[in-house]
Amino acid sequence: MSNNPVAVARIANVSRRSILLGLSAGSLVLAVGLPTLSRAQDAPVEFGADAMPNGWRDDPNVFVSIADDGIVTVTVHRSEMGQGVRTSIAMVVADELEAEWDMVRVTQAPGNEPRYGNQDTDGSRSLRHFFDPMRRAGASARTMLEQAAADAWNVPLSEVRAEGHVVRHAGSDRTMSYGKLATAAAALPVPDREGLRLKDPATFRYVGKADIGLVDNDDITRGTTTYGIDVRREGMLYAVIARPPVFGGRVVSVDDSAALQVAGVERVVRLDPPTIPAEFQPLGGIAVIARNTWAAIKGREALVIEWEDGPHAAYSSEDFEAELEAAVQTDDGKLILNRGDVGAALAEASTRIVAEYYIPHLAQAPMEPPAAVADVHDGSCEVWACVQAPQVTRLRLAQRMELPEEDVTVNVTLLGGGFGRKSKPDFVLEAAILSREVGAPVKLTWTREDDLQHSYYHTVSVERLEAGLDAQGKAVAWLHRTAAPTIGSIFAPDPRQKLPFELGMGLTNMPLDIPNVRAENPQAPAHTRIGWYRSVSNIPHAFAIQSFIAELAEATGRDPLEYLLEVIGPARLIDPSEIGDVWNYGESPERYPIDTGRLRKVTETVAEAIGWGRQLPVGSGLGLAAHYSFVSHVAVATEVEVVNGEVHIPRVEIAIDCGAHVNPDRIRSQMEGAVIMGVGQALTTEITFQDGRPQQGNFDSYLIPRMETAPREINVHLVSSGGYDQPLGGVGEPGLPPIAPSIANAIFAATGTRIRRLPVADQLRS
Amino acid sequence: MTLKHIILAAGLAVFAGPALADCADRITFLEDVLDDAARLAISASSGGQGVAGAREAQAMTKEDSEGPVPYQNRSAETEAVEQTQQVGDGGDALMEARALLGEARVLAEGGNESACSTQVHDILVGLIQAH
Repeated sequence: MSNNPVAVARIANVSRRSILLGLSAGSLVLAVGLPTLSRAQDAPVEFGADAMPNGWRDDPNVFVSIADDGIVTVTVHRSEMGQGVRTSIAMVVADELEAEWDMVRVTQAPGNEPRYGNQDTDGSRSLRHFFDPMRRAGASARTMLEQAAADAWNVPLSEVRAEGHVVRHAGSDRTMSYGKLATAAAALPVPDREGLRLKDPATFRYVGKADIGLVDNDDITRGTTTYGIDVRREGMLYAVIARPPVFGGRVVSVDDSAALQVAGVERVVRLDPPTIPAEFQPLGGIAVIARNTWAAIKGREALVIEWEDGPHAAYSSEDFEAELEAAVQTDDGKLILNRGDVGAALAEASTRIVAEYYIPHLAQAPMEPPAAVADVHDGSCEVWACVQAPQVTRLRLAQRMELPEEDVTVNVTLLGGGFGRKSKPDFVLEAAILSREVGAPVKLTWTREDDLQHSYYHTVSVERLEAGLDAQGKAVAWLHRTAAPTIGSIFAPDPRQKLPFELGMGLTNMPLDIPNVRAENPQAPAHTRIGWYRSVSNIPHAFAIQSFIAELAEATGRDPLEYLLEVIGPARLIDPSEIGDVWNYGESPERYPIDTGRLRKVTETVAEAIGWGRQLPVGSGLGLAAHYSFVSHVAVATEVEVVNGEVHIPRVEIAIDCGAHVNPDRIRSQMEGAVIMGVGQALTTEITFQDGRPQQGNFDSYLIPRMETAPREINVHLVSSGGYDQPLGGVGEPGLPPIAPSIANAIFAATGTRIRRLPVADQLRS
Repeated sequence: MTLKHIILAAGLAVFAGPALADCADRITFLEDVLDDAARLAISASSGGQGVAGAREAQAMTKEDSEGPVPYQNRSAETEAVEQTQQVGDGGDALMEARALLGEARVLAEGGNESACSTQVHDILVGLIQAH
């Protein structure tokens, strides 16, 4: 099941390098030994969907069903969190199926990767990995319908054609509806992949079209759709949990007498703290179970708990910022990237520029906090939950409940936002533990405060950049030190170095046209749960690098657009592995090289759109940023007005090149959403810790953008490159990283004040 | 076959092959080897943040006392984590080695063949010892 085989024989293809010719005995060892590095000689090295747990499936019997009345139901196995994947996958299947859109319905798959293929909805991968398999599923189903009609009419398959939800016989103009053919078609064998006829993309009716609404629009608008927080089961009890206020803490004692007096409260249950690494384990604490959520919340307020705060009791954002700043001052960090001789180039440079950037913890803060209903009884476990990773959830439940995997059912609801938080199923485990404890279905609610104070936080980081410029102001040396706690800290005990995949998000894969580049990674311990948040490490890397490039332009008196394009360099294809990246978002370096021509194009597009270079009133300014992430190229140009220290954003222009477009409306909405989220990162959102405790508890202190801070105008430019036979890029995450630096650069243009610390907050108030 | 074996083989080629008597040539040779090994690291880590994070963290810390974090059935994930570890600790060792080769190249370009060879030798030994 390989979409993109790259034979490992490549590694042993000694003839491709002239340097290997004429080697002696040693080279023979090499040539013989290298191919067996893989699982089997000549086995393909797998990338993309092929390399993911449980890979992909394209069986039409799994993804497509057709009822007697002709209604086509497409089973979508990826989680819907507002990105429109239920619509986009259905569009792909329906197009190849030649189905009428108003006859198409969507159902959500439960967690079951052996049946559906990988379901872990992260990494901006759903269409990147499943566009081709879903095309084949639709085309296979269409072929089976055509074969059923040909059989019924006793004519060759070549004389029939599916279109408009019927199969037509060309010779007699007879037609049969999909509904009438469905039963016979379902009994036929699935056609071979190799002989399958896919549509000519020029004839797509839905894919690439901008007029397809969300399949869930009506239900969402009417309030009839079911999110995790909406699920109800017969006999259900309701729970909330008092969790340790400091990560790593535990309950010393609890007095629950007052809680049990609250009307509606049924039980108080103690939960064990996690072992380290905490991974997706519940945090422990005291659960209050009641006949309704309000009673459970009031019962929780009445608990008297003595906590032991544990090893992170002294965690303070202010102190940790100083710790990170000290770490990046030293040169003893781990060497992670080195091209040329940065030390010599800096020593010989005409000008040296140094800057440090601080990016705080963030919480994903989905509008729907985590929520789950669990029903554990008689050797089975069934849950309904807003999860991004249903198979991971299923495996954890099976392990925790000590049940076979097949006795665990994970029903996936719609997600009221996810942003990475709902990839971690700790909240589902909590619900299941409580259901087992009380012997009834339990609905576990996380309040907004629970979510903000017990998140898997985006890391906090300090990025130190130093550049050497020659006499013409061209950057000839680039030294980047990055210090931040790693996501690895939830998977392993106390790792202090960033993981390769984190560094591959905009640092080791930065296409800098600079001859001397070096990057170092000093240690940084984690004092809270660190998790992935939409676009992950691209956030700090893009903010620092794109701000710094603008600073270099300013230092040399050059135009920031011209300077950015100079640093990107000429149009070229870069093999990420050859510049030091060892992740490449899991994709083949051959299929997914970094394309600086595309990065330049999106940059030039937004610059032209915003009217780069035009005169603006005092207090207004334009800023630019460009960033490559999730194998897509994005640039942003922002106009700001700064009035009495307040930042207003009249306009944002954002351009993305993600390859061919499957659902243009959703690409636009993802870019618009990224802009809003990025405005929050730039201006207001921040999680800080004091005494180990997050200091933000709700949206009065964790300030996501309001109407007055949102841009007045957002224009999205879809820059297309490549057809549907070319690799697709990600969409859900790559819009976010360049937003904050474009705003910071615009603020500098407007005020002369350089923002090196996010969020801006009150830095511009005198 | 693990990264250790590939590096052992590469080491033999580097230090036994007359065509690679020049340190800069040795670096070029090893960079190509590491580029190809990087492809295996990319494949082993895979594309999702969760999967890559779990596999790389366990590969880098060699933490397996609790068993691998299951993203699929236990045996498949055990194999995946081992694979990730074998290709340079999730790519971490490759990344560092490649950067150190960059330093060695500076030595070669400065005409310091001896120091360059020592650095290349140390990189190879480091990679082998790390596994």
